[in-house]
Amino acid sequence: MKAHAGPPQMGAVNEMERAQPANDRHPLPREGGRGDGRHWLDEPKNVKLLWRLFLAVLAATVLAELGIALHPHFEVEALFGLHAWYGFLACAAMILVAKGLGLLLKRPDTYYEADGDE
Amino acid sequence: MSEWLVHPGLLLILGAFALPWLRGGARSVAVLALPLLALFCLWHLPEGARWQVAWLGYELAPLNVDKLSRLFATIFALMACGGGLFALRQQSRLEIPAAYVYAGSAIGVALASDLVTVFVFWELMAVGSTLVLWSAGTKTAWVASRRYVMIHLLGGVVLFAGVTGHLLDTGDAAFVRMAPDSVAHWLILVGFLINAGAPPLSAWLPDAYPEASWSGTVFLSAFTTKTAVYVLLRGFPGTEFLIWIGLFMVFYGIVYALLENDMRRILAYSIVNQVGFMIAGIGIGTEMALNGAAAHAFTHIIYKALLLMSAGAVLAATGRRKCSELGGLFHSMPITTICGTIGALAISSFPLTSGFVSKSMVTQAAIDGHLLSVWLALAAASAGVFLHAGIKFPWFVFFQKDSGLRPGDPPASMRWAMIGFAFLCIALGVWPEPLYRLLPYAVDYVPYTAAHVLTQLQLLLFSGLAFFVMLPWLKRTPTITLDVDWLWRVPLPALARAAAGGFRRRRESAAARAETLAGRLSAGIRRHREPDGLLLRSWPTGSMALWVMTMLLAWLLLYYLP
Repeated sequence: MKAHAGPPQMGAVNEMERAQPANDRHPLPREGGRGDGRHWLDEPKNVKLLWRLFLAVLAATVLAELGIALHPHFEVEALFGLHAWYGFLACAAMILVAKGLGLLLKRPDTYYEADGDE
Repeated sequence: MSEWLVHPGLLLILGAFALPWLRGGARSVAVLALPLLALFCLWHLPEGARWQVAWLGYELAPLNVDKLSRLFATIFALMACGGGLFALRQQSRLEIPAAYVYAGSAIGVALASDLVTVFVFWELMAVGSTLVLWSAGTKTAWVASRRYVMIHLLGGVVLFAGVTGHLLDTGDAAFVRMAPDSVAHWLILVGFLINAGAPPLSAWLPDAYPEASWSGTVFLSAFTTKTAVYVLLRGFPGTEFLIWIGLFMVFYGIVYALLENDMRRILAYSIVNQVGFMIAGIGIGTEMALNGAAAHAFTHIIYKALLLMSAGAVLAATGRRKCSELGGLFHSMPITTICGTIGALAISSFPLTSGFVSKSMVTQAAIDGHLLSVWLALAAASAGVFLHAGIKFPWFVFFQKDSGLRPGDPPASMRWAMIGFAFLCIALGVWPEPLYRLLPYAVDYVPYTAAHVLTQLQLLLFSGLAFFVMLPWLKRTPTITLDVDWLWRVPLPALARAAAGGFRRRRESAAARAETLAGRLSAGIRRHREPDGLLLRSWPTGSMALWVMTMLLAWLLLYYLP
C-alpha cells in the first residue's frame, strides 16, 4: 500500500554478499532489463482500486455463506463466517507471537560473523 | 550389467559420475535425459520385489516396487529433471552430479524394502547433499555444510543403532510397519525424524539450505525431508505423537518465517512448516490422512522447488538475498514474478492449485476422526501458510517498496524450468485425478465442493487482510532470529574450547606430578642397588652361619614346644 507510494530506495549492496552469477561466459542480465517505465501498479489510484476490489471480494466470500450450505461437522463450524474471522484472528495471533519471540531472539544479522564462527 | 541398470536410483547415481566428463550440448542432453530415463525405467518395473540378496544371513530386497514407493520415486525423478534444467547454467561442475547422486539415493530409499538398503542410501543422501552445499564455493556454505553434515552423521548413527537393534530383536531385515515399542524402534524413529526437520534439531534445515548456490537450494529442498516423510509413512503410520510433532513444526515454521529477512530462509522455514502437515497426517494414520500426506509430499516438492527457483533467479540476477534490500522486481522480472506467485498460491492451497487438492485431505482426515483441536490447529496453520509464504515471500521480493533494481528475467533454461513447474502446480490443482490414482490407497475424496472452496477462500483472504493490516509489524529489519543451531554454534564450541583448555592444564600438572614420582622411585631403586646398597652389599660368611644356626635353634625349640 504505502510501500508503492514511497520514493524508490536503494538498499545498501554489500559486495561480499553477492552470490556467484550464473556463468562468467554467459552472465545473467543484471540491469537494464524490461520495465524501466512506470507500471500500472505504480499508480496510487490503481492500488486504491485494487484495495477496494479486495475488500469487496472479502465481503462477498462472507456473504456467500448465506447462499451455500456448509455442512458443518463440528459445532463451531456452524458459527457465521467462522473461517473468515478465525483466519484473521489466527494470523493476528501468530504475528503477535512472532513479534514477542523476536524481542527475545532477534540479533543483528552479523551476529555469527562477529563471533568468528569457526 | 543391464540388470543393474534397471534400478532407477542406481542409474541416476552411475550417470552422475559420467556427467563431469561431458561438455556443452552433450552435457545438457545427458542432464535432462538421465532423470527421464530413470523415470522410464521406474514405470516399466512391475510391482513386487525384483532383487533378492542374502547378506549375513538376512534377506535383503533392494528393489521392490509398490504404489507408495513408485509415487515417491516418480516425484524424485521429476524433481531431478526440473532441477537439472534450472541448474544447466550453473558454473560449478560439481553441483549437478552431486545433486543426481543425492536424487538417485532418495529414489534408492523409496525403492528399498529392507532396512539395510534404506540405511546405505540414507547415508549416501547425506554425502550427496553435503556436496551440493559445498559446490556453492562460498565460506558461509563451507561452514554451514560442516554443521549440516554433523547433524546428519548424528542422525545416521542413531538410525544405524536402531537398525542393528531391530535386526538383533527380530532377525529380519524387512522394512515393515513398526511401532515405537522398543529401544531399537525408538532409535529408528528418531533417526527418521532428524532428517524430517523435526524438533529439537530442526534448525539444521534453515541453517544450511539457504547457503547453497542459487540452484543448489532447489535440489536441497526436495529430497531429504520428503524421503523422511516416505519412511515415516511406511514405518510409523498412525503413531499418535507424530500429530503433535507435526503441529509443532507447522507453527514453528510460520513464526520463524515471519521473523526472517533472508528470502530463501523464509522458504526453508516453510519447508519445516509443510513437512509438519505431512507428519501430522502420518500421525492421524487413516487411509485418507496417509493419502493426504503422500499427495502433499508430491505437490510440495513441485511448488517448493518453483518458489526456490524464483528466489534463485532473483539471487542470480541481483546477488541479494535479503528482503530489506529487494522489492519492486515485478517491473523487470514479470515471468519470475508470475511463476513465484503461482508457487506461493500453491503452497497456500489456493483453489485451482496443487496444494488445495493435497493438503485438504489431511484436514479432512482430522474432521473424519472428530479431532477438533487438531482441525482447529490445522486451519490456523493453513491461514498462517498464506501469511508467511503465500504473501510475505512474493510481496517483499517482487512488490513492496521499489528497490530500484531492474534485473531482467533469467535465461531460457531457468525460465522454462519455472514455467514447467508452474504449469504442474496449476494442472494438478485443476485435474487432480492422475495424482489421486498414484496414491497408495483408493481415493474417496472430492476437493471441489462449493462449501470447501468457499471456506478455504475465507480463510486465506482474511489471512491476507491480516497481513496488510498488520504490515507495519512485519516490516523487515536486517536481523536474524536465534534458533536451536545457536546451541551448536556458540555455547557448545565455547564449552569444547574451555574443556580442551582445562584438559591441557590438567594433563600438564599430571605430567609434572608423574615426573617427580618417577624421579623419587628411580632414586630409591638406585639407593638399594648401588654397589654398597642394601641389596647388593657383600655379607661376611660368619654372620650367614650365625643366622642359620639361630634359625635352626629356633626350629628345635618350636618342635619341642607342646
